[in-house]
Amino acid sequence: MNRSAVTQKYSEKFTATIHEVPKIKEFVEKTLKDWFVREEDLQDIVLASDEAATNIVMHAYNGENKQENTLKIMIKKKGNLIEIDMEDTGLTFDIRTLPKPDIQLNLKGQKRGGFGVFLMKTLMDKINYKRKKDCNVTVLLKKINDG
Amino acid sequence: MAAEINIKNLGGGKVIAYLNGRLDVAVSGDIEEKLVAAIEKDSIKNMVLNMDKVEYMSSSGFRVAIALLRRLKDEGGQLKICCLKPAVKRIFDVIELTSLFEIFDSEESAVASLG
Repeated sequence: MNRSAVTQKYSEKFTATIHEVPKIKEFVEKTLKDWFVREEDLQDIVLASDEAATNIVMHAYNGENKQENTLKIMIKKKGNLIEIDMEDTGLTFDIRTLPKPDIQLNLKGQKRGGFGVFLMKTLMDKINYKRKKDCNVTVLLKKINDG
Repeated sequence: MAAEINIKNLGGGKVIAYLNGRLDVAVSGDIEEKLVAAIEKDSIKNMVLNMDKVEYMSSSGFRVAIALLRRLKDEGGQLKICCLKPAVKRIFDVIELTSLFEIFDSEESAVASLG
């Protein structure tokens, strides 16, 4: 783990498997607690990070759950802006292109899920994506309250 | 802590399923399998999902709830959810699924609503 209190930037590399997602959640949660982020903002960012990581494991890495698949997380705080960068080496995958959930199809059992991306888009202010060399870089941004 | 399940059989095809811990992608598939297996084994038609001890839920938890709702409705039964922690209830509201589920503040009122 690379922690630098001066630059307010923490990073860590994880194995991109569904069983590792709770550790990613815990890393984001601990970092935000260290920065005394308000509880409601903290919950939003933690859940959005969980959903983003889950989607990367399931889509960029096709749910393979291989130990060699990696997901690097970097959390930055610039003033009241929290930025979470997620870098993976999976297939080209722009999380923003996933469709909105269809509740009726979910109820009929014809489609499962789709709620994670909806949650991410609702809970965060902005989601960016770029393909950098052989990596997907997904960026979650949220302005937090100081109070 | 990963989610655990305890099931209390009320008889007459009614049960209360108590979830305990976090309900996320790492455990939701296992939780869904266990609950569906219980529904099949004991011919359950009506279930109250008591989430008083669920401290965290991601969208994977919604998938479990929707799968249970679909399963029980197919059998002509009902799914009631009770005792949501404020943080979990807020996510139900954000995802606009509150109207999809019958949610109760107390276990007693959820059980009573099964008729």
